[in-house]
Amino acid sequence: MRCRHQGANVRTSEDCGLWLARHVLPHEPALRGWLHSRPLAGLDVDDIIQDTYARLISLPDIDRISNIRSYMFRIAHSLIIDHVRRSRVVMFEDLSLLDSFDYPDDAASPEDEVLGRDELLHLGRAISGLPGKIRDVFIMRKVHDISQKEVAQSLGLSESTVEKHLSRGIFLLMRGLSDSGNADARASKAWGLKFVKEVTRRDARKDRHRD
Amino acid sequence: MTRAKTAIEIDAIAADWVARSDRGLSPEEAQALKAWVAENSRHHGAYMRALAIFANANRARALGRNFDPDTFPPLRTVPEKPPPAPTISRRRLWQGGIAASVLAGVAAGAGFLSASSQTYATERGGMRVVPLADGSTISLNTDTEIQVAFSPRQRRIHLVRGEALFEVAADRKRPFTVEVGPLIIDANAAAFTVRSLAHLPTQVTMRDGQALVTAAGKAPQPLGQHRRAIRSDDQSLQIKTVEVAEIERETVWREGRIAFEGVSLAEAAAEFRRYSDVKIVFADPAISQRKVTGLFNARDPEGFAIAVAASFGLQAEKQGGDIRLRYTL
Repeated sequence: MRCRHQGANVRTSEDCGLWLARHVLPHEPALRGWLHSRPLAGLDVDDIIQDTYARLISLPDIDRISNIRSYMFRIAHSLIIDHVRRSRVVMFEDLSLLDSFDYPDDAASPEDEVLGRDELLHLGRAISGLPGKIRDVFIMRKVHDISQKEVAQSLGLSESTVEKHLSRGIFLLMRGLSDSGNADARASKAWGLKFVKEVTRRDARKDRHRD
Repeated sequence: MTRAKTAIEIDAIAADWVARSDRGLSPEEAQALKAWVAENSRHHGAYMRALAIFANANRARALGRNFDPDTFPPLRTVPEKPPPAPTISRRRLWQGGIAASVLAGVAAGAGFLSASSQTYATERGGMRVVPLADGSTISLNTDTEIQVAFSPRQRRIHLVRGEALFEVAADRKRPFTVEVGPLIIDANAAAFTVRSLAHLPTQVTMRDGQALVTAAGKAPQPLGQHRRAIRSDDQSLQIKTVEVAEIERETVWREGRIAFEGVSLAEAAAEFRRYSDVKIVFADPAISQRKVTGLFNARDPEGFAIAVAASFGLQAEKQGGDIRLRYTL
């Protein structure tokens, strides 16, 4: 499975998703842990992560990078430096960032354990922790490998509702991974859950209107 | 001007797009997605990350038909205990490639310790990805144990038992060495699987790149891409070419599956036994010689037996904790 550029198009293929799942996702907790341990010049860890994925996926020879992990750290580091350079007011502590790149080089960092634990146990727990219908839909789609259309039929829901539940499930798994490598992330998780509840409520109202 | 969206808000929109892509996009939607992704690099990053997380969730198929979120995790799975931070007493000294655990305490105290080793393992039915700081990743299949010892000079892995896929990041200054029984594999910037199962010859299969394989007391032998080294009983190495399709088939365990291509039911049953305590047994030896092809859920021997029974006109029945395949009466 390869992740190659398709002409001038931006890369969005599922193959690239799978490639990222195998080669980049496992290192994300360690990168987050590292980012949380240093000054970020006012940037948010989530912003840096999104930009790191964006830069990585825009590289012409993404699957030829020999060391993805250190590449991820370097991209993140250069994003912070770019940000500091662009800022008109530079904090004194940020200046030291410009010349230091303390890439951690142990065998495995504690954050690696987040994904390093038994993969299925971890995934099973994450899915079990999804709320209500979101969980039911996610299990049918991902554990039982049933298409969205069939999930809708068997649960007696509209296809658009199934799609929304699935989206919320993906979003919550994304937030769950965001909390890896950081103890303070609970606030953002609470925020995320609230966000999901609001949106889910809004969707439910809309659905009722439609029906 | 509207306020810039926060990372969380972008994530929520990215998740919407992944869910939409999953049911199939209309041409208009595909255009809209393209436009959204091109609008801002963070959109692109968030969308690809969401796609990766969704793809990763395919592994949930391995949880099986009987997955019950309310009682998960089942009792039989690995207890969740964070692996202990390596303390002095747990450290092992790698000396000439052998974990000399007896000496560890003494050596560590004396300051001879060049590297600490960490153990990673899966139980039967488990699967695990171990990311390493050098950028390499090791995927462990069911019932597998490895010890990892990194030092500034070398990267050493000991495959104690089981099966693992090594995706080795390049590091010219630090060779990456896997030891399995009397075999030593040296690689750099390569991907290969190593299988060390009881009663079967140890084998090393190169997916990408190349390695040097050394059997105890023998000269190192190069192992190229899509080649397999098998250690035979007389300790010599047999090397042969393997089809790419076969290599792919042999690593579907990363998605929690098993693929068979014309193997006997006896072999298939043995393969399922690696992942679960449930045995598949045969009422008649002739049944066990039938050939099977297909992609199955590794943790669902029952589902496999039912599928096999249906296609061969057999009967699958539970017998104690096992599943018996017999002729229809």
